[in-house]
Amino acid sequence: MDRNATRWEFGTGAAAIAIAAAFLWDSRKLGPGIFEPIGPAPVPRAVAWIVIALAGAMTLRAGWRLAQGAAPPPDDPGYVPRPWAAAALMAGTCAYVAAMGLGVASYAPATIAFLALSIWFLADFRRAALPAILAIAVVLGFGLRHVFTKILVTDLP
Amino acid sequence: MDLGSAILSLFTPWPFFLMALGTGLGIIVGAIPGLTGSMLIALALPITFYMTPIDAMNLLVSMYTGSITGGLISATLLRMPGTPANVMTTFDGHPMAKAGMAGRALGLGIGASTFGALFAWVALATITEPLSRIANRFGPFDYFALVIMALVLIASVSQGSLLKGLLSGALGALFSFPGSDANSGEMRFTFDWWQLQGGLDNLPVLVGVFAVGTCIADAVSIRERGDTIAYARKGILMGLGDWIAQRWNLLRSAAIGTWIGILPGIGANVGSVVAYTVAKNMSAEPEKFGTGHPDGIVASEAANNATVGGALIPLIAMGIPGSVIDVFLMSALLIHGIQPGPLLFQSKPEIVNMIIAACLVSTVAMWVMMTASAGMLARLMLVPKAYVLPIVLVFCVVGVFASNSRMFEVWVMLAFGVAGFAMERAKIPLGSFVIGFILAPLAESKFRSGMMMTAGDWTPVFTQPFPAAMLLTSLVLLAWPGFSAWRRRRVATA
Repeated sequence: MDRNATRWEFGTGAAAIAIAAAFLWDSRKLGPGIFEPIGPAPVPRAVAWIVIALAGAMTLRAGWRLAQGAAPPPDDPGYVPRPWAAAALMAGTCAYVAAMGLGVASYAPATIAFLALSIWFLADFRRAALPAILAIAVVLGFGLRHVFTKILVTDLP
Repeated sequence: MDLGSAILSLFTPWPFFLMALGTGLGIIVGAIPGLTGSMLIALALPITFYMTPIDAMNLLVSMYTGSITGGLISATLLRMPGTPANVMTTFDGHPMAKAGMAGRALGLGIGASTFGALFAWVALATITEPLSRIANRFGPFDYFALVIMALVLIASVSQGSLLKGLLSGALGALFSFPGSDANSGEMRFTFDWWQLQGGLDNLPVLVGVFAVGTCIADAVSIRERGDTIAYARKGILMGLGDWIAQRWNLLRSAAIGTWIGILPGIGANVGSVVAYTVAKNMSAEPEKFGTGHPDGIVASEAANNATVGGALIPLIAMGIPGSVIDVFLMSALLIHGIQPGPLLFQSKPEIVNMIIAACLVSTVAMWVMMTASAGMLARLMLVPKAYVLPIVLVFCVVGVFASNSRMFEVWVMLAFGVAGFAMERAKIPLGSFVIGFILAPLAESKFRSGMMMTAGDWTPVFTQPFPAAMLLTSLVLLAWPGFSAWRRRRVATA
């Protein structure tokens, strides 16, 4: 395990412990079973304790490795990681969903804007690609709206 | 509708169109590295709301068959497995293609895939009903123990450590609990949030973990590209000589794939690894594996396609998904109000027969499509991810929203997308998570039913033969990695 993966392991383990603790906390509200030997709480409570035990072991192991100085990721000349691109794509998707959820834009314009901007961004803002990107965005924006509202007869934001 | 009628019905226009569409889309998605069959089926689930259950199963099973095979193309020409099930194919497919025999490498893969899928289909058509009759006699504790064994089994064979596999399964189980308790009707784990009163729906969780999580992960490595090789058609049809030379390898690998498919929770990835390893160990020239050896391609592809039919057996007969993709098929059935399991043969035989029929006809369609259009499909691998990822995200958003018209579920999907990405970075297997999420409610309800039947006595879990055997198997699976490590240390110190 390299340093990056170990850091993710540590963070994910800690988050899992927090989630399981929240479940345990919330399970205090649940009463015993009325017409059955065990109620709605014992099984989830047992699973939450299992998560805490397993995630605790993983987090401790990751913490130990980090303290010992885990190895850096292997150097691969053909691989250029772009974590900021993933973060930006996720942020863009959240903005797209929020715009529709808050009623700022309806489905078709929001989709066209999201597709055009995110594809252009991931394609490194190459101007030559822009006409094709806009065409894809417009076709999918209006096309999917037509398919979902007219053919499948469902609501869209 | 019996099996014969179901097969014939697939040759009428609308079912034929759905089968061909599903197989074609499966092949295309499988051929594009980074996109997987799970992702395609997750995205197709909302569309199936508007279909009859029979049409939905036809479409989804065809996608399943196509996606496992499509990955062969990028594994061979790009040295990038289109789906995880094709990893072993890269070892020999790519070197053979590099040596100027791309057509032959693909031909061997397509032929072996078809054989493996047909072999497993025979098992699917013959074993499923007798197995469901046995499963019909299962009591609640039997089911509980079977589900526990399935969860331990997938955790023990999934990539990474056993600890992470178990954690993933337990986390998935934890997220299945919010909402109304099925036995008492009491609200639990809603954290005083009315949106959670209906619980976490399958679709946003599955689409989030598999599709959104994969998109985020792919965006990190968006410029990663393999070593592309030009496609030459020569050898695309597996010759008679190859069929004869590979007969034992084909039979053995297909049998391994089918058996591994039947084991609950494990699918094509493990099937191809085991078959490849066995083929290498039994070969007279093991040193040639990894250098473009036909046996390697045949073993990997026959086994990974055989797991498709094999994995459908526990799903239909016992309601336990045989692989991660089967979780999506199970969700599709549940969405249509159909509970997979032993009673399916009595309550909805037409659904069972359509699943079995679609598995057969889509295999034949897959062979035709792959043989006829391998060259065209090879060009698909060059579609830039920059175009694919945002489009997939749009489909995720619109598909999840359309299922219940709730924006809350879209946010749930995005949250699980981030969770899936984090788990993938931490090398925590996602398969265990979705199996835990889907199977935990079943395990809990069976355990509680059993406790009601025995007035609170849980000792039958350990004293009745079947649950005791299942739990013992689980214990062995849990203890095995520790025992192997101890044995290795002992050999090393001796």
